[in-house]
Amino acid sequence: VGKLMIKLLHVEDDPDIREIAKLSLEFSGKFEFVQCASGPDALAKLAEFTPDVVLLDMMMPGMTGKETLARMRLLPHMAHVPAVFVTARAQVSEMDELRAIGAAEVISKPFDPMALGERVKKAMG
Amino acid sequence: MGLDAPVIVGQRLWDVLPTDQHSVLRAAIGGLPDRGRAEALHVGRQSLKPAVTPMRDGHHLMLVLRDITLDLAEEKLKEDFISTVSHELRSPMTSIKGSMGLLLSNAAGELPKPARALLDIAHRNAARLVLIINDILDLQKIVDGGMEFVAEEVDAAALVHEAIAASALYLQRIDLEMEVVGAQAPVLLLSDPNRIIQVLGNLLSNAAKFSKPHGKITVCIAQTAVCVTISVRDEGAGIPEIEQNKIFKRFADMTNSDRQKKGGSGLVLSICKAIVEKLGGSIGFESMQNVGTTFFVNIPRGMEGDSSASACVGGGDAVHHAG
Repeated sequence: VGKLMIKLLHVEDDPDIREIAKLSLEFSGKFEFVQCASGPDALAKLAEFTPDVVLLDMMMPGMTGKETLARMRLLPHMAHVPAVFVTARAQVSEMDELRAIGAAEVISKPFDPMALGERVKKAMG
Repeated sequence: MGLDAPVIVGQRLWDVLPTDQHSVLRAAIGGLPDRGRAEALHVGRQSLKPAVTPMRDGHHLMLVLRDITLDLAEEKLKEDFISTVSHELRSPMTSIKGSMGLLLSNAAGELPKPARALLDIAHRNAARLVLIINDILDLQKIVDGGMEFVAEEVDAAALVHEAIAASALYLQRIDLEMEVVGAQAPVLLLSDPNRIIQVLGNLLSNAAKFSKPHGKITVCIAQTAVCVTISVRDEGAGIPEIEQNKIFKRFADMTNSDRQKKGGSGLVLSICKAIVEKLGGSIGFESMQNVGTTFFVNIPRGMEGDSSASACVGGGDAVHHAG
């Protein structure tokens, strides 16, 4: 009570990784979060939930993390919400590309679950 | 070349070859003594490897164009396969390593001691698997040209200290003494600092892995007008003679059970070699049984293509003992 929680939207198609992230974020105790399995689900969720930060998987079937962010940016209340990408393709060129489209941080898979919350918090500045 | 014989026979090669490929052929002819390394010509969908040989009359050249289209396609397929597999492994590894990390951090409650010990083994080996995947990807990036190399003026002495600082935690944990020789004054060169640090980090961790407990690692910097040599010496058991000729080959150290126990990916030294060669330099080692091993890298002080780059390849033996 009285502790200010960070509102986070997590988008990840892999249910196991969603579970890991859920436990990591719960363990850090600093986040109030909603998880979605796809970009379209996340966009629908934004009608009722305005996050302080978005944690996006890059490689998702249908709509990639990059495409999801582009669609989110079109929503006035999401124009400046920091986005953190999680990617298995940790090539320098891709990381640079994601930063260029406004990623506050790019976390490569596999990530350290005990440090996930801290990395997201740090990326928010 | 996708052309019928009547169209091509009797024509000058320059008239048949697309104009954008003329410079490639000119380079192949110009680089006669080095013709085995000539670049491929690309005509339509075909790739042709030129081999130019002088005729006995001293006036003519014989040009053989070998169709390597299928070879390249196979190579590309193999590279794509390795890259895709490696990337696809990262996602399940996130779940496996993440679950174990959470359990070890007591996120699901206190673990019984034997369970923690077993989980620790699994977690350590999952981390090793990630290391292998990363090394495979790194090597692949170098091979297919996906790794970027940027040349800037750097101080090799500062890079040595930076690489040691990056490995400090690891080195402290296994209680090794570290000595740096010849890095008091700046040693300037034009090269890629991040790649040099990556090579040094790999050589330091390799030296640490094969050092005896409480041993010493000595890093030495020496220079000539054209070349900077950095050596990393350990006081380990040395590399057995039978393994010395394959030490830079991929997965070389996986064939030896003692080296396998050390937990490497078997790719670290081949990555070092590939990077150093991309920087225009060379890598080598000297090893004595029960005395230790010294790995040395020679890096040209100038960029690839100028005289120092070629002077540096294989030219380190004269300087690597200096300092």
